[in-house]
Amino acid sequence: MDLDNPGLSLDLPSLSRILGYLTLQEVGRACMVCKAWRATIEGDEILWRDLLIRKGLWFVGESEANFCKMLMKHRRKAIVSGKGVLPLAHPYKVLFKSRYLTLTRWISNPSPKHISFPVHGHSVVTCLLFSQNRIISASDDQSIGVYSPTTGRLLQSLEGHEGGVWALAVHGDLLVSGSTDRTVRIWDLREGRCLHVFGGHTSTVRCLTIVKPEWITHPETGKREKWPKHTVIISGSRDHTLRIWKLPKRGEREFDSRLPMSQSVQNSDPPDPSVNPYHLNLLSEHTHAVRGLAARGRTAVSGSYDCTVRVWDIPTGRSMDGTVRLWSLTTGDCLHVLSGHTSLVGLLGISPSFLVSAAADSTLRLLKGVLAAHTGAITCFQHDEWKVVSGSDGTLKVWDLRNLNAAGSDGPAVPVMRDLLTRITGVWQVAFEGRWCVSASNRNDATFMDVWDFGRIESPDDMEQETREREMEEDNVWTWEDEEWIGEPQVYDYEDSEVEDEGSPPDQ
Amino acid sequence: MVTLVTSDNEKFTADKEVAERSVLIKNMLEDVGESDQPIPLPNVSSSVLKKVLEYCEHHRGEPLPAADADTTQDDTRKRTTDISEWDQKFITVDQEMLFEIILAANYLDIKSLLDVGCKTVANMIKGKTPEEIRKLFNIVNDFTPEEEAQIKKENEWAEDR
Repeated sequence: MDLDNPGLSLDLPSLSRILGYLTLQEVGRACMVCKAWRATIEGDEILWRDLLIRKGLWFVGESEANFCKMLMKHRRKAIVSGKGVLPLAHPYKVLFKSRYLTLTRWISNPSPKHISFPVHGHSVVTCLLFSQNRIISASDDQSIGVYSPTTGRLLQSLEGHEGGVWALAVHGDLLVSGSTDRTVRIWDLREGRCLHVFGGHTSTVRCLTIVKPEWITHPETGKREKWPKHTVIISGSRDHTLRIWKLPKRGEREFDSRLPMSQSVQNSDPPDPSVNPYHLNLLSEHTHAVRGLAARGRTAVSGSYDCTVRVWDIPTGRSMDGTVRLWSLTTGDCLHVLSGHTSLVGLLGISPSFLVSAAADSTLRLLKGVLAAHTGAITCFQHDEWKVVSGSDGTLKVWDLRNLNAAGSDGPAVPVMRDLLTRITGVWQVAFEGRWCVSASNRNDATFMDVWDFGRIESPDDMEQETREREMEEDNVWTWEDEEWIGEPQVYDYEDSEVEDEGSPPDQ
Repeated sequence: MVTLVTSDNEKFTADKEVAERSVLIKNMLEDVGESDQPIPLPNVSSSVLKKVLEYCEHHRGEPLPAADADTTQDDTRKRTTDISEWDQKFITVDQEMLFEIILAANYLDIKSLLDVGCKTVANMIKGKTPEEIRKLFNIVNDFTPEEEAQIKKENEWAEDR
């Protein structure tokens, strides 16, 4: 090599252009050449956006923008604390890695690291959440458990409900629960204690959802407005009603409806919610128990055992319509009126491309296909852009949706990617995010939690070493800045209460 | 005819149609209007301009990409590294000349030539290890051993199939 005459070096803008002709593997290798190449590659927005599109991992804008916003915000915090020596990657690179691994490792990992541990004795697990590296389960044994996915250790046991817990929703470090004791409770997951007890429902609280403020166009005035004004909780109950509550921020006055000073009349039963400063509204048009809820912006949708679905305008509390229709968020056209199952439809889920419904007729239906390999009623499922994980008849199956978009025909058979559990008594609940999959199931009358880590491969040799590492890992505080493999939350929005802070609409 | 003056003060004359394959020259000609004034190209040497004009001459009359096609540095980056036979022969030059052509194509804003140059470099990188790439382009490895280990680990996932 002639070091005296290094010749003309490749300039970095040209390098950026050259990268577009390389495969992912080649880009990865080019990254290791030198600092300048690495910085150019890691920071190249066009390259990573292009790779997202090439690999079919680009969901047309909104989720990508949210991801970037979230990551940049967390980085600003991290920079204040003086972290990081090598330059940071463009958020699209982090997103690409996360989505790419979520897609590929679920398929390619021959045996994901699997742990299994008993939970909640013999009781039913009614809800299961995976959020910010925490497994959260609710049970009819009146307790809520918070577990580490790496070790399975019980990190917190949230006690206080005087009946089975049947509904959960999480918002950052705040957990909201609903119970047969008719209360809605709010817990601080950092400290593991109850902050608020909201009374008012006269029967079991059966479903909960949290609605975060977002900029939307007002249906009548056409103005850009933020709805709801504050993050709210909607609770649905067996008492036929829905109630809307403001989600108190951390540090706001703690409220307990059961205390005498929180009641207008001594020991009124049920407690009078009108004295609760966080109670906002009561929606009462259903004629039977409210069983399911979904909401976004101004709109909430509730399903009831009165066999109707009602669509509500949250600010006015008016019920608007009584049919389930699938609307396009881009054109506003009604795309589908849903039908097809032959018996009770219990479960619904949505992601950028798919809507999945599950029912007692033992099929899962997609807008584009039918998943038929289970033999009993579907008890639980979750899905994303590439897969459905469903529980039924003692098995937990992962379905491969990847070829569905390409197939384009009506009702193609969807292949099973793998069976995670077989021959057990029943699967209560399933949840997955990024590299993690969690299920709660019943085995010979005892309740077990199973956790699969698709980012690791099971290897019997290094068990002890692994356990030690895992214990250390568990102690580390989890942050978004661990850009190893983030995984995205189900609805592709990010726990972000700061949207509530004043600000102008993004496009004005 | 248009007169172009290189960094080493050599004068070249070319048909307007040929010279205007460079968006930079086309814009400059529009700015000065009808005049015989020579156009200075202080960033391009005579040996490189000779090659560039050879390329423009060969491709004269071919449709040019739309004026604003490259402003976002293209959504439609072509993925194929196929290069036509003539271009292949044209671009078979030593590495220094190759890089000079890329720089000049970028400066003169000749998108198709820039593509040919970049595809050629991409083909040189393909299938090589980081060490082979360094050797090829005479790049010094400026990572510390610790950084190198970290970077190797953080890029392992890209080897996944």
